[in-house]
Amino acid sequence: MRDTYILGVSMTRFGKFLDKGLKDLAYEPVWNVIYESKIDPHKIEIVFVGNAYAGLITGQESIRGQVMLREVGITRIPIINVENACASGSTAFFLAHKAVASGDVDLALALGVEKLFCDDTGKSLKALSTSSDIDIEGRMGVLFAGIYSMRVRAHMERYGITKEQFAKVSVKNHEHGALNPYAQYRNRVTVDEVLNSRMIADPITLLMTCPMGDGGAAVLIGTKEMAKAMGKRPVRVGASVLGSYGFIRKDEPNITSRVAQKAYEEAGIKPNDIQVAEVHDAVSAVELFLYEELGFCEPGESGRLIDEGITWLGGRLPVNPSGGLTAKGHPAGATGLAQITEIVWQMRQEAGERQIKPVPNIGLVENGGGNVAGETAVVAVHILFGE
Amino acid sequence: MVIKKDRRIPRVLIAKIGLDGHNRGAQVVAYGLRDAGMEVIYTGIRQTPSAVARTAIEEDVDVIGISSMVGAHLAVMKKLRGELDKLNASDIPVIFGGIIPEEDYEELKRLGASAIFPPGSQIKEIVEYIHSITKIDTWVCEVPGSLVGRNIDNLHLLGSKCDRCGQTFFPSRRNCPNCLDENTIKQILLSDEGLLHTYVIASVAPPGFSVPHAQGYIDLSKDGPRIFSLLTDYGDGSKLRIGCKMGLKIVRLGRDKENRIIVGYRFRPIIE
Repeated sequence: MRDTYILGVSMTRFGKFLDKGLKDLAYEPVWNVIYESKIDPHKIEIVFVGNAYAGLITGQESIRGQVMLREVGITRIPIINVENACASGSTAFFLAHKAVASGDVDLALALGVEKLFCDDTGKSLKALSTSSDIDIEGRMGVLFAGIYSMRVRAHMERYGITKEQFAKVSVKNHEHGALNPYAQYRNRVTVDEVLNSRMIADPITLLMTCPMGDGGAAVLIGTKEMAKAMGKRPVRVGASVLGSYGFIRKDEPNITSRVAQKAYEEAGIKPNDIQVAEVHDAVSAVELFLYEELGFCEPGESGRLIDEGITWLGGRLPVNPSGGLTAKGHPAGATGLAQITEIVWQMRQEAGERQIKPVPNIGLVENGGGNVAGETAVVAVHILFGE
Repeated sequence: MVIKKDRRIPRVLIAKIGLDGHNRGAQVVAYGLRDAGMEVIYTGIRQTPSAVARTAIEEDVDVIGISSMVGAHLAVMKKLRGELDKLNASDIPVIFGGIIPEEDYEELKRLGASAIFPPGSQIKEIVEYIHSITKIDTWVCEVPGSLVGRNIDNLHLLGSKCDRCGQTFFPSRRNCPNCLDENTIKQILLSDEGLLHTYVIASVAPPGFSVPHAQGYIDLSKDGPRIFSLLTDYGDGSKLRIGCKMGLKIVRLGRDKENRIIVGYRFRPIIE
């Protein structure tokens, strides 16, 4: 396996775009990464297209990638449709990275697009609820906010983490989102506003959850030579690891810990080497668990990280400088690639008002999706090195 | 006149076990039951007890009818009972027909035969008897493979346990996902009780479910697995605490297209 490098990265603004279709959301980020990478688009050898719900929402099934790329103009080459719930974009990245790393191709495109808004919210919610085993947990109306809430309760009981600490994650991510022109929500919120917003699944309130969204993101992966020729800071993929749920016994490490451990080994670093992270805060409280599962702190210590400002912009380890899913938005298939985009922008000093200083050299992305047998169905962890 | 059936058509396995080739009686009964509207599976002659037990499960029959003409009825019943026990299917009733001396009736029933129909019995009698023992409502699980029991009012959670690694699973499954072996897994009845690992009373619910929508994970007793379930009978929520004792409650959720009762499992707090 050889090293792979991230060339251009791009995302649309996330939000509610009833007037935009899948093709519109694909067009802009794909052509942005082509121009930015300074490559001949004819040299792209393979495309992996991540999308989770467009089949259910728009009715476009089977060949969504081919259809999305029709207007873009990419035809003839292999186009692989990738579906892995909210980690579809990360899965596309994982595959594009492997394709280049194996030496099979030199230039691979990962594209993620999602359109969750339609004129029928019930339809959108129903589509999202299919990311469970519809024969088992799904039969009883498994609810993602509910699953997170249950984890929050268990965690509060065991470690004494407070609602205020969960609320602070929302405050932080909205604060970051306010600085991000690509974010769905650019308003700031206070702890009181978060705690007093509509109750969704006690203790999770509306402002602790991520919104539905439409959007697209793309990343080109190529060789070291291409990265150098591009004229921007080369960003190497140190690790890209994907894992699935297991029937874990009580007190066995969960999927995120397992996948992260493997990623650290693959990249040859330790959790405390990470200087910036984009993580899957589908519900802001989850971000705290992720600090622990990703090894940023000991179990039960995550509340301290948010209280002491360590994971805020300006802290020692900024987490979700983009605003995260909570503020930036969560168009499922695009999310993983948008997370990677943010880390690359931070490493290339292209993050505008939310630029981390000093410029980070080692970044981590964690992206999860679905739920089976009480575990997250898919988790991807990527580690990137700015050279 | 339209007769509304509140249960499915009985399925009957007619079998002959061992070296007994006298199949006229078995065939007469098989045709008779068929003509009475039942679904009949006929094995033919020279079957083994294990094959009959397996067929009974695979065909999901309500009753097994054994024809015996050569005096082997006691041995046949004993072996068949053993095979059914092995497959956790001892609740399938077994009835006998053929040449069976009256002095053996008591012993045969003790071994597990639920009825004996000697020569001269009318098909009508057999039909009525089968209807009487299959009169329980037939049901289907909301979650396939999750519940077991012949009587809708006495169902239990069905799980699996791997003999090699010792892990338990719910619902029941075909192999052990750790050992990746079909031969190490067996079906087990899981405990009807457990402790609440965590829970939520959500103020929103997916389409088709009402609010409040309460869900939890229950760590089943006796080393059972942690299972996801909807919660019920929790009052205003104050009865629910992490670590509190929870009990299984079987609920009826309407009927499917074949008019079978759909049953589901829920958990409720047990106040001691």
